[in-house]
Amino acid sequence: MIKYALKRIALGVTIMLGSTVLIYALLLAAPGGPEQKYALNPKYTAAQKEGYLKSLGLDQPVPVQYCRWLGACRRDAEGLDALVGPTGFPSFLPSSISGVYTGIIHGELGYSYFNGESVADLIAAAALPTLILAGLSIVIWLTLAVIVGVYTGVKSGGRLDNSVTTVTYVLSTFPTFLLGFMLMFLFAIVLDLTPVDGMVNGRESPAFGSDLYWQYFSVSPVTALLDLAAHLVLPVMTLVIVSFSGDSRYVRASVIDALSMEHVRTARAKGLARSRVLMRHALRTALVPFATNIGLALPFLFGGALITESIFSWPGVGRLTLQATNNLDYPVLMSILLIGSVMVVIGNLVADMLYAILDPRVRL
Amino acid sequence: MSKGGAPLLSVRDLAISFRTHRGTIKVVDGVSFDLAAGECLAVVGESGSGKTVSAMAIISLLSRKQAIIEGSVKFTGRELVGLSEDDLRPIRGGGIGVIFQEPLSALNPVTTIGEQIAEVIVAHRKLSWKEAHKLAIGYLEQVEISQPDQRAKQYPHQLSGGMRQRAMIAMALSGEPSMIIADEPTTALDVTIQAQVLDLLRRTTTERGAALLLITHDLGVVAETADRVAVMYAGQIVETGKAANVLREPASPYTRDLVTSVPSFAARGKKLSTITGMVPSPDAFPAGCRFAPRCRYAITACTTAVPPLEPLKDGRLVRCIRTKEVLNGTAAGRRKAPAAKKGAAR
Amino acid sequence: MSAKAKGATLAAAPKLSASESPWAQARRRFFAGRQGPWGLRILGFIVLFVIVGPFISPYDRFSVPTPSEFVFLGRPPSFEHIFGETAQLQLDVFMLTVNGGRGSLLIGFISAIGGITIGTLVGIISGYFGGKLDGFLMRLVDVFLAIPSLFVIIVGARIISELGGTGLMTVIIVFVAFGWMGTARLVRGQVLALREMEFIEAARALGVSPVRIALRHVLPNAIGPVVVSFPFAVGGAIIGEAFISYLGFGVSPLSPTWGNMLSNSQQFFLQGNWWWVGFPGLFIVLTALSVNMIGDALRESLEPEGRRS
Repeated sequence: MIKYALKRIALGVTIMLGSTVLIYALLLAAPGGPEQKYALNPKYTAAQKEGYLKSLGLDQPVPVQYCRWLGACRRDAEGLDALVGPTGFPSFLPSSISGVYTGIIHGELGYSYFNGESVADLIAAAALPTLILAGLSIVIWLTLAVIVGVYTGVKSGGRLDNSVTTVTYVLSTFPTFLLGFMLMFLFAIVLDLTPVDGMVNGRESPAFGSDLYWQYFSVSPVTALLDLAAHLVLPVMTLVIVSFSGDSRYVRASVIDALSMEHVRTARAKGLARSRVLMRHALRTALVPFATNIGLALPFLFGGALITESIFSWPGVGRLTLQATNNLDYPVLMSILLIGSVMVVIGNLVADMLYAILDPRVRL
Repeated sequence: MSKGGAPLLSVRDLAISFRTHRGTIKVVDGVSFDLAAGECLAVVGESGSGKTVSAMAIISLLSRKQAIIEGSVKFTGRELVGLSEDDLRPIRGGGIGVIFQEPLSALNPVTTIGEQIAEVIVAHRKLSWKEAHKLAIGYLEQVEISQPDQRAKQYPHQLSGGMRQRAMIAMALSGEPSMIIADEPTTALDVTIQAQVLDLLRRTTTERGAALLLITHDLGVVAETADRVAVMYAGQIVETGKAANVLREPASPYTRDLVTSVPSFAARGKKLSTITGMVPSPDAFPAGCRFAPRCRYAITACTTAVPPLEPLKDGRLVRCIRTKEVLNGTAAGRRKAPAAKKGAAR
Repeated sequence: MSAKAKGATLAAAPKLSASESPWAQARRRFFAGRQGPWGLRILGFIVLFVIVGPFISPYDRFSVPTPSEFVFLGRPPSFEHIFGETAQLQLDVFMLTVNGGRGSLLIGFISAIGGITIGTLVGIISGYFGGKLDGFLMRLVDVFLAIPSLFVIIVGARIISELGGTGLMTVIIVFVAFGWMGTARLVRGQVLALREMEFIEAARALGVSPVRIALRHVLPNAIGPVVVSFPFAVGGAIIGEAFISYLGFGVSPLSPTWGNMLSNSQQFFLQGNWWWVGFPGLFIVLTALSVNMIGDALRESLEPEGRRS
């Protein structure tokens, strides 16, 4: 199993390297660049523009830029010299040996082109809001999916099953933003039950995550939590409705399949209690593939939900991604995508291992 | 047939229909038989004859949504047809154990063998899980599985086919039922292991005085194991009686064809007889005798009314109006198949 | 020569029995259900709506029918404008929906056809010829799949729009370029399984050329799952277009689609203009629903053993 995991990680790293090359190429092929933000300024001269690009290293050829971003090239040297660090060892070796501290492989994510902030700080600030929103949504939607899926699966063909299945079928075709808008319109505008968007009530609370906020939080934790909860309602509801309907249909189908399996008939023939037939024999096998979803949820916990976060102005990683894309803020984008794909690789690995643990027939 | 006292199991006029999108289709009709304690009755027939469905109907294992069961099934004097799942629970596993055809899919793939046996013990005898697990190992030993304590911790896919079926038998025995239904218990096994498993099954049930209802299509299995036999064709019993009598001297044309179509060493070099045509589908059972279209003894009278089950001198029941001709071996029907001559030669 | 011709006809025989009668069966099962025919009916209605629509509406989409009153938010549905008016310019939402529907459906169908065609070709080549080519193509698929699709679509759309195209074509090209991988994997899997089947081996043993085997024998038999994936791909592209429009990277408002209608109208939605969002939204949901129904019905009729309802 360890050997398998190592093999998978090696393959994952290869694929990730390949995809960063492709992403980098795409980004740079995209017309316009960070200098665009000055494009409308009439006083901005060509020389200024050149200097700006040079300061960001964007005057270099694309392979060099990629190499620098990766950390296999130094930023303070040109040509082949860049491959060797100040200590004389190759640049890609650990910082303590090579003396090179820049680039992804040395743990340095760079600075935003847009506002000069450290990418690591930007991502760290966005990670907590995303974790809160995504984590809460996942817990609710998986729980709901299992409950509704199992119930409708066991009572399949009944009147309740028919109506629930129809509703989830229609809901699963809804585009997220449409649903988000409808919920916002209904609950925040028409009924005025919830805040429209944001993470905290701006008039009373400092911005989430700031030092002031934590002071405010320690002074009146109940108010702060209630405020947060009120702002969570709509985005969580949107994510849960959109995601749970597909999953509950999946669980329903697995349960129906499992109930017609021969070993479930055996369990009935053995005269076991109804609950044991259902839980131990039918659901145990039906839910194994679904349980592995927990591994697949990992990338979501980090990357968040782009659409939902931007509809409800949730200051998370999803919204950060969108802003970075809009601003062609390469360092931020590249780091998010890289961390995201690491999560995908780890998530898939976790899913496979969970499968192997839950189903003794699977051997890795 | 046991004359003294009520039989352990008594099936009367069992009829089973399935609801399909093309309406309700009756697949089993008027099946009656008795099973005495300690006795072994084999139900024989081709696939599609309704033998498995009948066996499953005894303990209502058919889908309640799809299957309609009519008639009467009395087990130790208690009516099982129409019983709720809750009332059936102590009987399933505790009164009647079941062994299925394909152990790999009939056993739970993600639960250990020991656990699957122990849960029967916990369900039917007031014992703790710990004691049940201990007993489970004992049952594995009884079905001659080596290193039973190790095997109990393994999963079905880690056992060989023969061992899986042995574990299945252990599971059926562990509720200490007074009757076991075995649905084609050896069909999925290698020929070399079939005899061992069959022998084990017969021995363990006899030791306990438990009755055995054996569903099979294999006449060899019947000859080796069964006291009595019921031959089914197209959802009806066509002949039932002592296994030795029925196999040695079949009185219905269908049984006769079935017996002669088994390859034997004695008949080496001769052309193997086959039954022409196919088992009719349940939605197209012919009027009159259901075997008539394939029968070489058939006369016009056979196609007009369903023949009743008539008793013969030796106590067996036969559903045929041409029994005399069959027993004499004179085929005077519409059609003379080459196999008829061989039948006469016997 | 004659041996080769004979080989072809011999090998064609199993194909006939393996593809033709099952197709007829699948068609019967498809039309016997409720989901498939209803999905077709809804989709048919939508297609008819976007084609016939312009002829039943008295308004041009840019017409400003000198409103009797100027209302910034536009006026709600009335007999005059059955879907209401947009905010600001007070355009007829009915005409926008009709014309936008043509754009969205074109994007949906052409992207799906393009992506599935390329994916099928890659899958057949990869699965049938195997070896290094297969290894390379499948790693390529892995890399393409490892990039978040949304990001690719956004950047891709940006590139192409800056290169000159701003219309539907841009979106279609991007969707095709990044919509073939799933099909490629699916078809490759099918081909790998089929390659070991006896009738393919028979054709090979009889000396039928590999290309002919791939096209005449493998393709028709591997096509089932591809057919099933088609409606889902159509729905995916239509929703995808709405999605990138919402994010501001879609088709320019000069060629209307349901997606860019939604993105243009969202800021007025919360102020009370629900019809400008509601009608295109309704049509997107109806379209997605109908193609999903068709897809599910196709899957069930092509794979009878999966008895899911």
